[in-house]
Amino acid sequence: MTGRPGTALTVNGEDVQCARPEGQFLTEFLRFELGLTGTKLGCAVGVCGICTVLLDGQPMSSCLVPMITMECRHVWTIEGLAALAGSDRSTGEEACRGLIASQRISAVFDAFISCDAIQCGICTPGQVISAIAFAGELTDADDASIRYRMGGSLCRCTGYGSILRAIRQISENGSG
Amino acid sequence: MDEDTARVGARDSVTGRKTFAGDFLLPGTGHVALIRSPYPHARVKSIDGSEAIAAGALAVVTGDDLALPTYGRRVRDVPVLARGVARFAGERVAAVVAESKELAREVAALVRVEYEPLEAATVASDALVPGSPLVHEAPWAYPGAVITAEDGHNLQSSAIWRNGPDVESVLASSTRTFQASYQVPSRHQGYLEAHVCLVSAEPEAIDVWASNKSPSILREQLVAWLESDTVPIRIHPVAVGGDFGGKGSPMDVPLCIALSRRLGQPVRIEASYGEELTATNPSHSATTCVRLGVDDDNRLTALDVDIVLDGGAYAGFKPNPQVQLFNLRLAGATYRIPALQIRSRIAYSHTVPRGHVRAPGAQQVTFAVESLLDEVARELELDPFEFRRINLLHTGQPGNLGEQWLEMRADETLTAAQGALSEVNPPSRREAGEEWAAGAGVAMFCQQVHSGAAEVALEPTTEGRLTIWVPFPDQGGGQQTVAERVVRTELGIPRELVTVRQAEQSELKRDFGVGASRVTVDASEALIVACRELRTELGETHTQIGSRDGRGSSGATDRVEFSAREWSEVLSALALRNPGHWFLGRADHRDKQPLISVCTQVATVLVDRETGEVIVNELITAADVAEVINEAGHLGQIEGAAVMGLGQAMMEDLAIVDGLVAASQLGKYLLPSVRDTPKQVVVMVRGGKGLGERNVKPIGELAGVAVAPAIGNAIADAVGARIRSLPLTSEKVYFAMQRGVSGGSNAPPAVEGQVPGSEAGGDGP
Repeated sequence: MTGRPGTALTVNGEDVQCARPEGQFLTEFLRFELGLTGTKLGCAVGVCGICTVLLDGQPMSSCLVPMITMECRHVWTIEGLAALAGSDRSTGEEACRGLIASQRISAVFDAFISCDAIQCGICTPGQVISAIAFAGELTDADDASIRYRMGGSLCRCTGYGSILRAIRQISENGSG
Repeated sequence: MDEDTARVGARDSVTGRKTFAGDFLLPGTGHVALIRSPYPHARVKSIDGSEAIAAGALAVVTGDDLALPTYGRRVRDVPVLARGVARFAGERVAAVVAESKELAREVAALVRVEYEPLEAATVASDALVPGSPLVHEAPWAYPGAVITAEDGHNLQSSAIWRNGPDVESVLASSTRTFQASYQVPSRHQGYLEAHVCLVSAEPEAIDVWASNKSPSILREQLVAWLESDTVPIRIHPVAVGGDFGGKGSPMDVPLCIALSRRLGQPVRIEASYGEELTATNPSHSATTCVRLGVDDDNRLTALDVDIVLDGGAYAGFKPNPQVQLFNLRLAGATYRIPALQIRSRIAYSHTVPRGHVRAPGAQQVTFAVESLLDEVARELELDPFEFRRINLLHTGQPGNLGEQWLEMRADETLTAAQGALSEVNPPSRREAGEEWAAGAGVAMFCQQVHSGAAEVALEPTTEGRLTIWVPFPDQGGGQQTVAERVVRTELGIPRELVTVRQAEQSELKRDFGVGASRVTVDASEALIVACRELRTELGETHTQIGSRDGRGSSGATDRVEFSAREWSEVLSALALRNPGHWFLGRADHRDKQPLISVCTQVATVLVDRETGEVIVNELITAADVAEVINEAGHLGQIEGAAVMGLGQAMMEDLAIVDGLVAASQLGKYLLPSVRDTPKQVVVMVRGGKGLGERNVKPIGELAGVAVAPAIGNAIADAVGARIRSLPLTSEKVYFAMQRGVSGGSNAPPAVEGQVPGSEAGGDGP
């Protein structure tokens, strides 16, 4: 990192710079420096999952990611995914493992809405990103594997019934 | 995809556009880090902020610098910053303001505070004993206090509810009496949005963005604290990221106002989750001693409940005028009990101050009463369902405290839950494995409807749309969705023309906020009134427009059907004729006959005979719902409450050790994840008498309370081990089994039923 003015990364497909990465974590960089407040701050210790983003294609608690580790990495937040949902693009950059088609994102959004898998909404972006991340593996997923995959995102409101119904709907529709 | 049944704001939620208090920043905002006392009780001898200032802090502020009055929801005993003494570990002692959150945290470590630790009263029962360290020198002197100098030592409040003949003499003459004592620890509400507030206090107005569920009342609390109503206070509408009773206090808003005024810039405080757990307003831990009398026919003769609750260092987080928890008086209310006495004492202690958690007070007494009822049934060799059934209170019978309930649907929910249990197929021993013992347990809870008053408004816009103005935020309960459904049903207006918005608190009359499960009940009625107002006005406008296609020429406005285009035209015409006009609707249910709703829950469990591990297989909830406005939202309230109850039953424990909250972060305080949830069976027991034209009953707090005793009773059914303290951990089950209880589903109770003064059994180390 020596000799570099900051950290260069991409967020939602665009090049961004973090001028002062030391001591800063990805959640607060996204929220305060880029104004991407769809990524929420919860426990700050990687337990609740409400700060989940896609980091190089994988769901990750952004509160655990120091900005000094972010050089050349690729982040998709809920805002970027929402924009993709309405387009025919995908998050298919070279460095981004796992291609995510816009249809898959739309299917997850629609399933969460139609199954009412939302109450206060603070955990919803993180839940949605977790679902998008493994929607590709969902076809015929059994209950245990759905629970395993979604286990990193806490929800205090719903009791998870409606979230499980949403995931099953995605699974049955083969939207992955 | 059908968006017609979607929750209001659903698409904003899934796309991250829904905005919470923490999502706002103003130019030049100062960020605050708080210095908190590490001691349960200490004299604050000196605070030196010079190093922090040298390192870049904009200010280091102490309680003496501010010299401001205390605040609170009812009792105003909470200091904005401690002055001279810290009364719990986690109390705000000084505030550091800096340009960024990171810098504020960094330089806060440089503030030197010299403490003199003092002897502390960290357990409620000890704190009440004369001679224990005083938490407050003169607690009766605070505004809103309900005690006097003559009342007990370290007392926040006390209450006795009694009815019928003298409980002592009835117990003495009963065929059999039973007694046991039960413990419920403190629990955090567990919302995932920690408290955050942003304040800009200018001479001409104070602007507030705060995670608070009752903006109208927050404003009143701030006016009371400021002792002045000359500067407008604008509480800006924001979504609330979960509440469960914990977001009704001013919390850090008074401090933000003081700092913003002092520094002349906006100020923001965002609690870390660790601060949430250790320094906000979790539930009252409680010890409950219950005594029950039974006659020859196995009917209950008397119930005596004596509960001591830990209120922590400040009483200011309880809103109730009696500074009590209002569900305590419903102990045993599902049953007909001729002699009843409920005594409650809430103590001050040198621990985190306590507030409301979903159905405040209910879980503490319900776990005790429903567990003891089960112990009695087993002792009398009666089926726990049948023992409950012969003692149920029925519609038409007066409540135990003389209440004239509109109806009592205890039998209906008990029968529905029992029916659902008969359809559940427990795994056979062969499937589960020989080491697993199966069991089922039942428990009941009923809750009085605490309805209040509400005012709402409908505003036609010149664009031909209708705005529904409501005075409350949506903290997840679905109140704004219910509002939209009611208006769409009443008017027959298409969804795409309707927008629900939260009015800034000053624009509608006083509102009680989101709480006590009351919003659907009150607001639905107010909305119907507003819809009628709008319809009356529509008469003339409609005649003009409707006559064009020959409809509505009679001028009748009761059930006029408009197309979307026609709706747009009439709304636009209304708005042009009377720009900015609001059609107001009010409802006031405060003088209505008291209504109660009932919930019966059944848990089935498997218990490992060797290790004490407990697996909850099914959770059955039969809830008395009257009529339902929003099916999906209603189901979500029930399922969500039941899983919260599961967490509180099995894992949640905000243990306070020597005055310190042991869980310093989430993960040390456990919340249930999707991996922990059992299969849920929900039976909505419909019909009956609700409130208002839509015949509704509340739901938000109903389905979380009986879960813990139902699971505890199921564990006793499986292996005979009776656990009398929450949470129901495997360790407690293991040690209870070790104490000589043979396993098996027909095993006798682990403790004797008739043991006056018996200690809480079943608790391992």
